[in-house]
Amino acid sequence: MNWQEIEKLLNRYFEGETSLEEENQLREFFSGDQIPEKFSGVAAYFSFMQSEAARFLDKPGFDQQVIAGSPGNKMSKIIKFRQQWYYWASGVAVSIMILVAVFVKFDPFSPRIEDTFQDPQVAYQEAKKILFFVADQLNNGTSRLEPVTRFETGLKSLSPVASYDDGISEISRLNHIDKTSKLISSN
Amino acid sequence: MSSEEFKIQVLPLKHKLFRLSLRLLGKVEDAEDIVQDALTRMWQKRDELVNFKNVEAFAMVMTKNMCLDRMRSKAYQTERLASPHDVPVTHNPEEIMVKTDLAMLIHKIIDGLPEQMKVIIHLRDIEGMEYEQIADIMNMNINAIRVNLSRARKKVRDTLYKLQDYELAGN
Repeated sequence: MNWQEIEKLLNRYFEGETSLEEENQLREFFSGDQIPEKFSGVAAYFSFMQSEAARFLDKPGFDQQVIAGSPGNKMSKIIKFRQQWYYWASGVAVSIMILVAVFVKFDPFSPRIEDTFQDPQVAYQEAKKILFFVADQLNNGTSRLEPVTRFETGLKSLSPVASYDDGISEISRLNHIDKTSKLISSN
Repeated sequence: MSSEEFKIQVLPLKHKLFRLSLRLLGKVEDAEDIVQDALTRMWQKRDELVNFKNVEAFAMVMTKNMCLDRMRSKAYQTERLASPHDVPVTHNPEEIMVKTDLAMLIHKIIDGLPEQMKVIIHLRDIEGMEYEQIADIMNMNINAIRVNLSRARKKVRDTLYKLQDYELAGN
């Protein structure tokens, strides 16, 4: 095969139109010596592909581990564990929320207010009676507070004391006399 | 499937599965883990494997999906940030530097391709699979496989040429 033919084949190769057999021809061709400079990139590509195809899994004891059924993966175990943990925690959280919701909505422990009267008129009378009773008790309480008003009358009789304050300010003028007498005596 | 059949038909696939997951995950240890997981699952369900007409394609699809799952996991992404991929080893120590550099470059270019293209170019150019097989594994039609393969190959070629031109111009 001459270079022209190779170039044609290469073009078809890059269009994805070559058969496996043709690709093998190319590979063989480019693994030879004396590759023109302009094909050095393509040659490197083919040789790269060949060396990659020659990589093997050579972990010792691999087959035995597979047959013993032990998964190899450290990392996937961690992920699996974490996922299980998430499932578990979210399950607990949801059940707590359901419990809380049930207690808030239906409140099974606090006593119910039940309607004990058949006739609404009787119920009204009863309620009135209770309200009067409560009002009575309240009045009892306020009557005890009556002596407090006497304290206020006492305050009123103390009001003349305020005029005492006026008298004091009048007296303050005496200060000037004091100052002048000091001036005179110092001279 | 008996355990003898499993050992003969399924276990030898491990190298192919390993290369695929290495292509996707980039680290030997991770790739080994995925393959071991995939094969262990198949071993535990070996009775059901008789139902699949193509066990190899089944194993490849399963491995591919497990790799993609792993790549999307948070743990993988944080780990990937912390430590870069394994670099391909060249077996011949006398190989000149230029060739090793080129191999690393090609490795990086393929690594940068979109997942789908990466798997397709791997299955065709490294594993030498027929279009029908690749279409089965990718769950795509043959035409779409060809289009994606062509794009992937051109992408590698053009990036290589661009870098070489750049290097030539630089020297």
